[in-house]
Amino acid sequence: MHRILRLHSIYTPRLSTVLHGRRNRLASLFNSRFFNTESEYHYKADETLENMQDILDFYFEENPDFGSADITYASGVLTIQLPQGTWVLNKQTPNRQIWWSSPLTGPRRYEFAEKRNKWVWSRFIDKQDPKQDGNKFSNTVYLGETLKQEMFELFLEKKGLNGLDDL
Amino acid sequence: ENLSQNFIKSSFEHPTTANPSYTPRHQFSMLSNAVQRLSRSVSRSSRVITSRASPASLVQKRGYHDSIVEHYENPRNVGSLNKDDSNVGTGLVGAPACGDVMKLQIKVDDNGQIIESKFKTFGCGSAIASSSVATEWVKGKTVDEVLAIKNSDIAGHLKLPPVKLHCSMLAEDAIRAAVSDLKSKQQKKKAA
Repeated sequence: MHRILRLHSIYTPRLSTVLHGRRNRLASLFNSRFFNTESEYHYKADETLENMQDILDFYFEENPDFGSADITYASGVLTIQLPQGTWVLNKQTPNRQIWWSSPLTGPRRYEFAEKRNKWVWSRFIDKQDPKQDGNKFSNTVYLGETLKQEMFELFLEKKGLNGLDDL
Repeated sequence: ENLSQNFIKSSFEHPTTANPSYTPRHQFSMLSNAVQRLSRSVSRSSRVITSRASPASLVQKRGYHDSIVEHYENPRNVGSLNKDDSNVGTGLVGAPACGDVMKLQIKVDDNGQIIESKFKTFGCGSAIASSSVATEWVKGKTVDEVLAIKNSDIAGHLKLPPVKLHCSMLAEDAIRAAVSDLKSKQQKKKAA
């Protein structure tokens, strides 16, 4: 017989658990960072990930010498397969986040900052976790910016990725 | 065929084995379901599984690395420590809606060295393996040394696939949360 695990004292180092009562209070503090409805989140996240897919498709078409790139977006998951590794960006609906996984920068969570109309690395939102890695990607704040830096790191080409500056 | 029946049953229990790409586990929205799964994952680790297909039989189809399977089938340090003990730090991270909850506890001696560590995890095989590895690695280290354990170390050791890197990050967070809890307890003790 197992005792019920009491989860009322959940500690999350990142502000990743969205509780409805807190959200309304916090919304005013963080410039309405959270979406008002789930459908708004889906709309924005889908739009962001589809844009990324289009931008990358174009980028690799323009530069066939970079190698074969398999970019698919299905069921809320954007998968980028390059010879250098696999990126997985997926929607995390309970948190209203986009979860990112990259062979260069590892796992990250991005939350939407309405004030800047961009997805921000949750580490920069949650003041409880300001640790610095000291690596070259530790200051990439925005979702598009991170991908752009990584692509530049791998292929030394930024042309065609300007659309990522808006994401 | 018995194997395929077990596969279907286990794919319900372990959604990740059914679909190699991301499966939204946020469909588990009821906390009671989460708690039941937590107790099942704990009981699973202490009993020999006879009635459901283990991930080992699916490894050629799914691609779990041997190290993850090993930690899943023989997890180390499952259990609980007394959280009211002043020498015990408890880190509880994650959320059932996201699919993973980890509770990691550490017990220190008077020198600040970690002598015992236990974990309980609700989540996928990779989450269980990550937290199992975390409890192994913290033993014998001091409280400050374990803060140097990075998610990339855990992910590299287990050969986690891209979609499961988040499990290793959560394990790192669990270690930090346990250390933070221990330190705040010790502060309170000093102040009293």
